Amino acid sequence: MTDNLHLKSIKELNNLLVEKKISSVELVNYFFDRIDRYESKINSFISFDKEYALENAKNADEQISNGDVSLLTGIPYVVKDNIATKHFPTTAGSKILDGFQANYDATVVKKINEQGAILIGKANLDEFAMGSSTENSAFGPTKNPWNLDYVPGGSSGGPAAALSAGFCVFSLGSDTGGSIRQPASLCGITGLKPTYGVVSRYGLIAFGSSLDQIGPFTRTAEDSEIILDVIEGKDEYDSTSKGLNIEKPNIELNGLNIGLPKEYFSSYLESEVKSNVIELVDFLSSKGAIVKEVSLPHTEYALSVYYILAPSEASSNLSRYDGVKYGYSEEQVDSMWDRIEKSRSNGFGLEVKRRIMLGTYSLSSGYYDEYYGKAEKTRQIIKKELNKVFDEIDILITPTSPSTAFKLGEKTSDPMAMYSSDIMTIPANIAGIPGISIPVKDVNGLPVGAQLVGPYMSDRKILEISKNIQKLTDWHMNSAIID
Amino acid sequence: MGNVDKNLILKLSGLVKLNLTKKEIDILSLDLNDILSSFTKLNSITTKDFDEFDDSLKENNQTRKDIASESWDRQILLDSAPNHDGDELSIEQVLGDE
Repeated sequence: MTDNLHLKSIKELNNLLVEKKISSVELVNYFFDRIDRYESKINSFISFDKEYALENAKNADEQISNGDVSLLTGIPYVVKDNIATKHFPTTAGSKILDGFQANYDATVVKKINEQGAILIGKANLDEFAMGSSTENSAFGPTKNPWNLDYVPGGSSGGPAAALSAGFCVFSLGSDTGGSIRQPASLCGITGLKPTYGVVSRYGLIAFGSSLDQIGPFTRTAEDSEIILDVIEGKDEYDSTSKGLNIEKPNIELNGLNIGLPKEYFSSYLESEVKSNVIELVDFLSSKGAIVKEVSLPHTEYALSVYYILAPSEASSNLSRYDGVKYGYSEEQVDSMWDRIEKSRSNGFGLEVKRRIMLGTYSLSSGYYDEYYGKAEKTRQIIKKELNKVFDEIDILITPTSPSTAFKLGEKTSDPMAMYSSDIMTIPANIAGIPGISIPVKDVNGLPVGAQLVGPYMSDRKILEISKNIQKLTDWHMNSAIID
Repeated sequence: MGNVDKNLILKLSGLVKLNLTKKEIDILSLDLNDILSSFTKLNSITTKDFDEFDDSLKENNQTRKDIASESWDRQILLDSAPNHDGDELSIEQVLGDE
């Protein structure tokens, strides 16, 4: 069997499968061998099921034999555990949903499974996607495959680490304030947050409903495009969903107008992260791209806006967990209210409680105008400013994260330091526009990501530019070597 | 902005049905003050020309007519619940005997 299958792209694996050089069963066994060897060190999964995966792989092999093949037939993948699946429990990384079994597949899972891909497991996350390090999970922290003393980022640290460790070919995460792009950056892989609404949120456990978006983790931008083509589109179960244009743009690096927002390259950025992102920009300039400095002065308010709006929406979304309808329920109770209070108090972790409290405060009478109202209005200013900057440039390039991965435990007792990890990624969520993180040169064995952000519905454009970059560079070919 | 004392924490925790431990009350009092203080920078922005409800959802939200379709199987939903009695979810008595 061919070596290093975990480093191959979807098209390379598809060729091997179609040419019968490997079977899907062999592919699944290959990934489970790696899981057996390394997962105990990384803790990227909450659940996985080899027998289920092998059963589906046998069906995929039959489909291939019959010539009924899509690009994803027989390809193993992993899903963040806040996306509903019929076969696996869906926990959102929380004790309050421990063992919860959804009775349907999320639209994204349904679409991918219909293409014949093999779901092998559900990946760890910060509880209810609230965090930037995957240390807030009720199922223990996930470690960064590049260095096990470091975090993989979050909240989609599980699916990012699972791909980075070579446990699957692609994975799905969710991004409310950077939860796909930041872990992609810290784990040295490609992570796409599509335009808000491009991918159905049906089956995604709600956190911040006006910000949440599902997207792929992949080894290459080409693979991201393949996954986006499958999962995008209007869905009758999500009234905010809409499809992308089918037409794929042909974009050359020569003549591309790139904006570097000066506010993203300021002093709080690690100098080596900055220089490695600038190395990419210089490379693009050498290929004929036109680079100019732009200013987005309201960026400095984005973090505050986000940490008012997202907890406000979360405080409402999480009111459904009451220990009555489903999920964890306290046994020793005196009354219905006692059941609700005890189930919530023992079921939610501290970060979730912090955000519920913060959101409730921001929405409460007497504080509403000062916090929620002000944040919603400021959101529009940020959005308007971002829309305007795209009148003069094609894309923005920024670092994805102000730093490389930080050590486990380094920021757990300082919420503001943890929240600041998302400072580069939050504006795209606030404005509902697409962003992608692609690997650039690493720093002392820890990956660095560059973020490409485009205007509303420019998902295909930023993917095309990323593909062009990855055709000419090899930073994305680096992979984690697990100790 | 940002003046959260322990009494306010207790009031909020009552609203959201969380019974916090003493340690959690101490931590959250400090954290919420820190976080809310960081929001003071929003005071410097003039937002009077903007409507708070004119947000991104407005242009994204697409509605359709109601369509009757198959609902979830009652038994599956009941089986998801911690307690059920026949065809109904089971909870503790809410109103008093009298």
